[in-house]
Amino acid sequence: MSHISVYSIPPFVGALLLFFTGLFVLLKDFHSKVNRSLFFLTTSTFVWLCGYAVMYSLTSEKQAFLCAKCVYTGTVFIPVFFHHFTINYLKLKNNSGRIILTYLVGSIFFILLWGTNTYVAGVQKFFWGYHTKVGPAHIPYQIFFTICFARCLYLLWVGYKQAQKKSYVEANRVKYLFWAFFVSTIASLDFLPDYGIPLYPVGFLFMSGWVIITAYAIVRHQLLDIEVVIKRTIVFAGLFLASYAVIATFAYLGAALFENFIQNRWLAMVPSVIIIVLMLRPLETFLRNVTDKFLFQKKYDYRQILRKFSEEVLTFIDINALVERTIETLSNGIKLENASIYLYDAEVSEYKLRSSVGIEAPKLAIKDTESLITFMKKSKKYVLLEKSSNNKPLSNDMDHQLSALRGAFAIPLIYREGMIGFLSLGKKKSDEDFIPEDIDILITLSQTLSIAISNALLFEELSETQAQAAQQEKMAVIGTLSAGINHEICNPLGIVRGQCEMFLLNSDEGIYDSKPPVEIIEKAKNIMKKVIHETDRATVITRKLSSFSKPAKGVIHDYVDLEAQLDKVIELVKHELKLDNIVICKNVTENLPCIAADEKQIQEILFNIIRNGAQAIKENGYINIDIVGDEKYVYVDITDSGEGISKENLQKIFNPFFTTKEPGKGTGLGLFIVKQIVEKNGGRISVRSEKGKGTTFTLRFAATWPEAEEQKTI
Amino acid sequence: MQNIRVLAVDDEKDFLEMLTEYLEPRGYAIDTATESRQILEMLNNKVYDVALLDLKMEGVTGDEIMRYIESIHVPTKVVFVTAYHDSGRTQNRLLKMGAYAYLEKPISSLKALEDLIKEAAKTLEEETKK
Repeated sequence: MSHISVYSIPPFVGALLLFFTGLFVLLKDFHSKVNRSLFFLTTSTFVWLCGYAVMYSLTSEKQAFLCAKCVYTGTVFIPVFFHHFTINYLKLKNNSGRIILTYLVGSIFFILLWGTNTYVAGVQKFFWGYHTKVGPAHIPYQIFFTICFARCLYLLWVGYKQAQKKSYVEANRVKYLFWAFFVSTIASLDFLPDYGIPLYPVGFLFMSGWVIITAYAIVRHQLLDIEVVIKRTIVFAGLFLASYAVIATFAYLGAALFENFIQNRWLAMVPSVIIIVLMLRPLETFLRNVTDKFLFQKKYDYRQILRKFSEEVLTFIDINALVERTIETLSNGIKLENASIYLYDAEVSEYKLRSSVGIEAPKLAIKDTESLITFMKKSKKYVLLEKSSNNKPLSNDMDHQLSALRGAFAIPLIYREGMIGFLSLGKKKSDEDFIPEDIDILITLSQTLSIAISNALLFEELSETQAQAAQQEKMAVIGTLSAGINHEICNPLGIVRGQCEMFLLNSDEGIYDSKPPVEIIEKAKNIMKKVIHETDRATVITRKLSSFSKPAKGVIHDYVDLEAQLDKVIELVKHELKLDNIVICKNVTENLPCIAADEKQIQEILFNIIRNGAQAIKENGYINIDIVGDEKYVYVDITDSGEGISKENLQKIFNPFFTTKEPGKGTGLGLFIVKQIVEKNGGRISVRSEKGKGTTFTLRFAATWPEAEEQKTI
Repeated sequence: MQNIRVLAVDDEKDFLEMLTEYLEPRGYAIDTATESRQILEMLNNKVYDVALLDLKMEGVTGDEIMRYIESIHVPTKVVFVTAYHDSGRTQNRLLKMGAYAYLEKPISSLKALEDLIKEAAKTLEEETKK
């Protein structure tokens, strides 16, 4: 063997690819029967291809003959191992007899191979080098080979069809396996030169095809349950080199072509080099897109989801917004058929649905005694519906409960050892199963989510306490209004009672006797009118009072007319202010935009600030309210002519329980709560004051424009 | 007996009208006023036996009117008739300051008010006799 023939290189490369694929699979799980049988299969093909690679470079016929026998040592067992692998992979039962039979037959041919020359008869020389020449015993082998391959491909196809009913992922894997072997079958064209037909054995090509398809199925579909995390850059570099090699080959061939026209060989390469250089960038971009899109799409999406979670979703402090966005992001991001989130309600010992998408009539609650819940609670582990198949009966209660929620994957939300809730994720729309990578990411995500949710729950609780405090404060405040309100109710009552009594007494005591009946009736009518008028007056104030004292619901409406809310508050406080000789003055710019807020809470805010101003004034003064609006904001300035606030106190004014009022006049929660409510309505509050000159509170809310919205919809 | 002279001050016109319609036919000389300048004018021009005062009115308070009456040294008896309720605090204060009586609106009956006016006038008469 003085030199290596070029014809040796392709089969050698193919042989190496096959061998390493087999080795890789074997090392991934040495104990798996399937992996081992695949390793034997690839080894036998390796022997075949490698044998030929050596043979093509041989010059001695004798050596070549020995080599041919080596080649066939591998070839003999290819159908045997293929058959064995197929049976193992598909987990087919009652086939051990057939497996033994193939091994027996294979062994017979093996004996024939080395014991006689009837199977491999000798070698023949073709343009690519020596090649095997087969004898008569090769014909039964050929039949055996055909039967084995046909059976295996048939079994794989049937396996694919069956897997389709069970799991999309598994079906996909078998499909790729089928096509990989189908392509490799074409390599049996290599038998033709054995019979003297001078066709260059291109089997290495189809075997490389087998390697490529199998590798793809491993990377993309975790064939043989092998999870490969390949660095993007490596795949990219590999693809780039491979593609570039192809281009370079063409360019080289091109150079050979140009050599006919341009005498200088180096000059002839110039056009090719230009082509190569020009191709560089577009090829790179193209391949980068291809790798990202097809091989790494999943990871790419996950990055998106994770980013969205950390940047957007988890920043929500409002529990409803948080769970809604979580579910939305999960179901859109992972493309789930449905997703829902259940949170624990200690009062009823149930996990209650807080948000869901993709389910028409979701289950609203699940008792904490159900096995699905107790399992997750105890183990703090997720529950995965193994094969999301429709036909397969569910194995246990847990699976039943999970599928009642339409979920395929349930993840507990654990916070401080307690299960505050759980996520129920439906099948992926693609029908793919959840792979370990999905699970890893979702578990990590659920941990962060648990913290965010418990924070939001805590905040909600706090808001409730605040709302209660606000309500108490309001009731206390209404108490301080009572003088004004009383005035407004008792005055009408006084008039009503007096008018009626006066008429009755006057007529009883004969004062009307001298008057004509018409005049008396007129008098009576007049009194009735006054009675009605005064009763209405008293009713108005009680209505206003009762509407104001109802707790606010905290529901934000998009277009709230701030001025109307101010008017309502002024109506309520004006009597009180009048009694104390405080003039209230309102200036509102024209075309004031609306704001998005809860009307009642806005009233509470204005009411509290105005009342505070009135208390600062005590008696005789003014409160000015200026409302101005621009494109973006609405500003409310409430200025009182009170005694003002010292710089030192001004800093503490929004602190809870801070008060400068005499004991019994205020709880000190007023402005603290006002600030909370303002912020809840998306506003800002600030204050400036000068001792002896008065105080101005400034509110700022984002402007909303109902007309603009209407125009948009038109 | 001379007609009892009554000044009624309130910012509720209807209330004053009602008082007039009741007291006038029964022989009282009643004047009414709703705002401070009017009140001062009346007090300066005429001596009243009884003044019925509201407590809180626009521009002036019942307190101030009572103090003014004291300051011009007329013996008018001051009766507060008001819808201002603060569990007796203001009532005590005003009675201490020399008010004759304090009635809360709505007053229990016009008859009672009339009796109170009569009584006040009688007290005043007795006092002047002394």
